[in-house]
Amino acid sequence: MEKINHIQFVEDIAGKLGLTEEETVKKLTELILTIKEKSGKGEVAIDGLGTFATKGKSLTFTPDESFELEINHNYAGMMPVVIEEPKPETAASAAKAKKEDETADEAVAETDADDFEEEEFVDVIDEQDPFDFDDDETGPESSKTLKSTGDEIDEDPGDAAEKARKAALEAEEKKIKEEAEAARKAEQEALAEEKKKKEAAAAAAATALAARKAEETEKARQEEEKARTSEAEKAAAAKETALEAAGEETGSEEDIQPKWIEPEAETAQKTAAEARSDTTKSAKKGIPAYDRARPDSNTGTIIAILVAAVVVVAGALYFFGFLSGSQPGTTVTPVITEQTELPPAVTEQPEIGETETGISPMEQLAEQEAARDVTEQPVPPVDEQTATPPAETQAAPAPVTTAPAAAYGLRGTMNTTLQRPYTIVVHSLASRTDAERESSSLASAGFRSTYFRVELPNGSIRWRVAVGQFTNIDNAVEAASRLPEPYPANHFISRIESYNP
Amino acid sequence: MDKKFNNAFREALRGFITEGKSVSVSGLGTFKPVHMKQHEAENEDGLKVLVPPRDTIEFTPEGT
Repeated sequence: MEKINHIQFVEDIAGKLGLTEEETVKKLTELILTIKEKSGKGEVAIDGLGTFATKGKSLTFTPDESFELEINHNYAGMMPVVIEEPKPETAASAAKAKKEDETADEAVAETDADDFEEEEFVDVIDEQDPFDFDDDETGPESSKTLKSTGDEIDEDPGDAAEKARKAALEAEEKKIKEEAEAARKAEQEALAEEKKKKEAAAAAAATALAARKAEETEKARQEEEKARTSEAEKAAAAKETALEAAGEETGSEEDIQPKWIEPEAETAQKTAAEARSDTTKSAKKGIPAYDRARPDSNTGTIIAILVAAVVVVAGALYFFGFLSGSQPGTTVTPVITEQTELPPAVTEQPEIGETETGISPMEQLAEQEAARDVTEQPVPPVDEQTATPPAETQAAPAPVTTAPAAAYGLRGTMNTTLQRPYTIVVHSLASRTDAERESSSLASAGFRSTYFRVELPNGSIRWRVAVGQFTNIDNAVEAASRLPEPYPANHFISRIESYNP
Repeated sequence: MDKKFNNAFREALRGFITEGKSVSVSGLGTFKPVHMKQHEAENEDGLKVLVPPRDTIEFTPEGT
């Protein structure tokens, strides 16, 4: 760090005011005495510089906000980044944290938006390289701070993030299992309900069938009775006719009667036989023929029909009711359906876990590979970077290795579809042209680089150049520690809220 | 105090500091820009956060 001694400081003031060094030394001494004298009684504020005060026996200086903002222009507006990843299931808490961040942003904006004289510092900001510090004196102290910070970051945040990830995965798995169980129960209930409905429908169908059969049986019985009545009437008529014919021709020749009667009797008998045959066919077999000839045969027929109906109804009930609960052909089907639907729900659990976290194992592997590459080659040539993927492609299927490798990492091409990835800010510049140039330079060195616009609390605009896209802060810190100089000492882990317009 | 001289004093000091240079003023002390690296901290809610780096000014009074 360059040091300006008292003489150089006096010369600079003298040059600004056009005074001689003696006059300047005299005025400067007066000012110092005034500061010391007044600070002993209270505070001495110099507008645009800060406040001097005496605490104990020591003189203290506190820069005012405008001076502080000018000094800290590289990092102005940056907010603390939460190390522990918000859990997927606690979206509400994440929203709350985001709201708090926004509130903090507003608070900073209100605090720092005072009487900052922007015109005075724009040129200075444009000319300097904000990250090109020569910390000879602060170096060891800063390194010590970084080391202790690095240790903490390597151990605690990593473990915490890992635990949080595991907890999130376990919670997600539990949730999925519960959902699968609930779905299975609901399905079983639905199947039971459906089974009940089927049984009721089968019973109703059996009842309807039995009623229809009983009706048909009754109808057949009525037809049989009608046919029998008709047969008896015809037989009686034929007999009467025969008797009449016999009575008329008794005295002549009895042998003629058979010749004369025979056709009529035969016709009547045939008709009766056919009627019997028809009615027997339409009715149930097994009804004794003599019952029909007897006057009280109707009672027997009705009993037989009722017995047949009962048998039919019982058979139907047995078939649709009893058998439905035991035979495999009817009700096992829904059970099998249920069992065959369960395995997919179980096998989907790991996939859901992967998609919920947003990091597939291959993506993590690709990111670890990228970090390993950085370890071996701090400033990786583009040729080596492009030469690496084919070797990986040979070792594993192409779709698996190439796609995740492009998602996250330090090197490659910036993937503008990723939402709010972690990144490493390495430059904060007032000029967009400078930011674009630095970003291009980093990109040509093989890093995935971007730059984005930031509005500071005082309303001025900064362009920040960042490298890498990471799924979590641990990977970003790991990659940042392996960046080439001067970036390891001058960077900040942030998130890309929006890509360069 | 001479307001014009005070403004010149302020501009000279700010100019050197913002350029990353330390300034020693006899009878007063040394002003030095300091870079504080990012560090882990815990906010009011107990949530662990990574505090961004910060460039600030450090003043060492003369005689200490």
